[in-house]
Amino acid sequence: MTGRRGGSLMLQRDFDHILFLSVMGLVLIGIAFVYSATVENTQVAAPLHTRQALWALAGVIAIVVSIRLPIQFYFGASYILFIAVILVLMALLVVGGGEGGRWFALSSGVRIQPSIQPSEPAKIVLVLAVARYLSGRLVNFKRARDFLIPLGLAFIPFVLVMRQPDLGTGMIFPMIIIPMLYWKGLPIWIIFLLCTPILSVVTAFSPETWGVAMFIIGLVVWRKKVKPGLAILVILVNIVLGILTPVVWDNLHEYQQNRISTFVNPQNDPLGAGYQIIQSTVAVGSGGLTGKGYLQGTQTKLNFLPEQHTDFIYSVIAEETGMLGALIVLLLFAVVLQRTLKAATEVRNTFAGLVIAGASGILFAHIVINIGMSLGLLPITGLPLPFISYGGSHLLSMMLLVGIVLGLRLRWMEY
Amino acid sequence: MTGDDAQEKRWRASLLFGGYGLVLLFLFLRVGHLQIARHDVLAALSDQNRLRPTVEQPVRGRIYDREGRLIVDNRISWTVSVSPQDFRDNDSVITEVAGILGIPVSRIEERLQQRKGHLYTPVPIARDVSFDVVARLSERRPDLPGVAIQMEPRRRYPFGMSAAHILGYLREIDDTELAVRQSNGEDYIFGDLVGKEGLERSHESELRGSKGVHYLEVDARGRTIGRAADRSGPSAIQGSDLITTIDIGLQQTAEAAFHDTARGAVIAMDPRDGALLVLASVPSFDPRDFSGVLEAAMWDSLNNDERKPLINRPIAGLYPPASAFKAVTTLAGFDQGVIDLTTTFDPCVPGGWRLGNRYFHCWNETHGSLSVVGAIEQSCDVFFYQVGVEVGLRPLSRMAGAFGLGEVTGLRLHGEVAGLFPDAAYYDRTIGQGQWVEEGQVINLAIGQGEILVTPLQMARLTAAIANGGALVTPYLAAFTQRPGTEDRTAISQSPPRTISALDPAVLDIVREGMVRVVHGENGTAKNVAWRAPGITVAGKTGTGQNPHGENHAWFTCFAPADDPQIVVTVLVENGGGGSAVAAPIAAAILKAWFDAHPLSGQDVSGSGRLP
Repeated sequence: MTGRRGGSLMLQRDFDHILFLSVMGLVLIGIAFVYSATVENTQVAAPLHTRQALWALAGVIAIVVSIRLPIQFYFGASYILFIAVILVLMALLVVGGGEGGRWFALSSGVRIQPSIQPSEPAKIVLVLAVARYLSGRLVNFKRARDFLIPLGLAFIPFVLVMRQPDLGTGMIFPMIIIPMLYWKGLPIWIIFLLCTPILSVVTAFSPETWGVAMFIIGLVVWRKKVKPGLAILVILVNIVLGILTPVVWDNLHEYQQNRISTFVNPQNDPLGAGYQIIQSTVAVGSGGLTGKGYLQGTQTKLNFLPEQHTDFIYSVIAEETGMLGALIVLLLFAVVLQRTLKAATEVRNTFAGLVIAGASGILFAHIVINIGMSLGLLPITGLPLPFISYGGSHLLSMMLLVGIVLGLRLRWMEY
Repeated sequence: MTGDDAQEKRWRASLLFGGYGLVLLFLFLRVGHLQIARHDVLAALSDQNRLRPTVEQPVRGRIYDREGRLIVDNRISWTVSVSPQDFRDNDSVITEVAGILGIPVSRIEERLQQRKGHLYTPVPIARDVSFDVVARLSERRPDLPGVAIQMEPRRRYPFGMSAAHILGYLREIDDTELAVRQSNGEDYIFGDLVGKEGLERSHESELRGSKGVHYLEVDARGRTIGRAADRSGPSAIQGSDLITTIDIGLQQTAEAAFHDTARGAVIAMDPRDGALLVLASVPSFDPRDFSGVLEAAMWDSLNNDERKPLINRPIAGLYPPASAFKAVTTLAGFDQGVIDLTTTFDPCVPGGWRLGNRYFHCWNETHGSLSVVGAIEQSCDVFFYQVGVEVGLRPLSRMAGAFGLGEVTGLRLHGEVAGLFPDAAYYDRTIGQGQWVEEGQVINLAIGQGEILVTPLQMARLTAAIANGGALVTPYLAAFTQRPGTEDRTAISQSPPRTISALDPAVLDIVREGMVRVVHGENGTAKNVAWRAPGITVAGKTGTGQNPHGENHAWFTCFAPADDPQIVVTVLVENGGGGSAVAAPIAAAILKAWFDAHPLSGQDVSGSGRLP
């Protein structure tokens, strides 16, 4: 427990001011550019900055509340919350929600704003649950289940969210536990082996490339003297994926196929699926060094840039403020990640360290996937940019996550 | 927690942050790649998204006659265009626009098809639409993305059909001309109007002016937001006005002098410099028929009209000059020393004149034996038969060539033809080497018959050379360009006259004397001119061109005043009959109108035919 007086958290030595202020800076940038992206947007009735600011206020409250909760609270609630979130996600698949089943209406029948996207808290809850499991004294990765159980935990929300269907958010779940496994001491070569399914999926369309990938996997398995059981599992999974991926591809929704194939070559369909990637890179590139000026982005203002207040908010910033603004945002994210990882090294509690490492994973995955998409480097997945993209559920849960990190950091001395 | 453990954690954190940082650095490099290396390309694409360059058509220069009367004016019209980029695949929009314009959907699609691959240029789909259509389209505009209504100046002709052949008309540029002009670096695009005939064609570059451009900003749905504040192009520059040498009043007099069903040509020219006062082709056409989209039916009816209204007869009509050519024969005769003032030839007796075993008849077989002057006055064929035979083909051909026959006059007007004055090579080619006898051919040529073909303008030029003492002028219509709304004139350079060498002034006097007597002599063939245009000394020559296809072509070519020529008038009436009866009265009417307007006041006559 804190044992310290509330209301003066900011003044405490162990409160990470730099992390908090960097996050608040990003939130303010977000509000400013949500305004820019929606002030002349015909797809929204009114500018959304006020609503975003209200969500940010709720986020600050979430920080203030979460910062006061003891480590034991998160540890104790982790599994219960995980089960609860999984149940909600399953319910969502059954009853369905608005906007492709990602949303959960607070009132039955007519969907009213605000509504909650359960996949957002699910990310945090997964981190808590995996952290709890990995913090167990017996977990040392000598047993296969030591990393297979965390993977299994990630797999449940992954599948449920993929079925909504939300490809981008689904992919997040396995990604965020990788830094946690690493933090717990899993060697990098095992992480490589864990990632090999992705390698197989990507290379499955070309038998030769897949063969090369399989050879490298085999080499690692042999050189690192992987236990026979695990070795067989890894190789078997990769062979199955190599065969199944083309089959699964054929069964993907067309829009999912489009997103992926258009990413490979946007000019295939410049007015259709490739439109977003092209318009986003045009927005970024036309910004140049200093940008077109705040509220002056033509790609934004004239709505050539799609989803500009949510998925492509980074493109708005890059268009209007140029490389300068684009760099400032990246630097703030770097500061947030660095402070988060620093906190992970400082806390003595193993669970707390793992939660913080997982938090860095959540943030990093969103940042890279969202900005990579805005820059035309990654397929369009619809993942928001933490603290900046418009969207209440996401902003609130990301600030809550920061609150958890700040709170755990505050209690660094506790074991 | 041990020290090693803390060390291990720091190591892992550093490695993890190193990984995160590398990826963020990579993202930043990508930002730099897009914003620096690819900035120009992507900024251009961004502009292409939002900016619609809109061409401002320049106001075309007006055309004035020599007295400053406006003969081609402009008026405002509305053109409906579509931008294929914003209009694409929108059937309901196409249908609605077609409905408002009252044209079939297929026509719009056809136009868009023609323009395939040029996504960013608006395609005109209807020109000169009514104000009602403009109002209805404007009303629906928010729901018709890609549809633009542009103001476009159009031609107006205050004198109607008068001088239509000279003025020409504008039509939408065709693919061939577009390709040529674009390869010359000119800024024509599909759908532009271009001068197709007449002065509109030959002075396209001066009249056209230069296009302006402004940029409209559109949003992602193709709706126009307004003018882009941050981008502007050059303004349109109005084309230069053209001051012509035409006297539109005299032109109208000439056109009105023909019967309703008559066909022919009239030229009035200043013999001193070749300035054309009248260049009339009868019948005329209505240039307004060409101003918009010329329907195929209209085109067919103009083309199939028996009277061939589209032929510009003064420069594109070919006729035997007949007796009007006799002056050339005379001059060739003097040049070759075949005749002098005292020469008389075998009398013109019943039965005409015998060459070998053929008889060549004279039009009037009561002439008796005539001197040169008398022969011109009475247009005695027999006299000129004999001159021709003695001169021979080559010298006669050379003299005709010296007077510009068989070559274009150099008038800057599209469609001029060269005509023909045959030489030995010609007969070798058409009849066969050794198959023809020189005398047999030259005897016809000497009286302007046979294979010789001339345009009325060539005859006017020939007449001018006789009038001005042997200078072969280059006829012209366009005298000055003038900046609109100013007095700032620039003279259009004209080709200098070509002096006909080997012309003895004394001999020219003899020919002129003969031509004066054609009008004023006791036995002159065009005596009616003298009383129709009283008070002026006119020198002229009639001609009645034999025409195997019908009635004779009637010629009269003349200049006045005979002692100080200011005006040449040449009249041709196709299948009109006799030159003196049909052509001469028309010339007389023009002379009378000209000298009524420009009276000969004492000595002060110089320059009255020139432009101010």
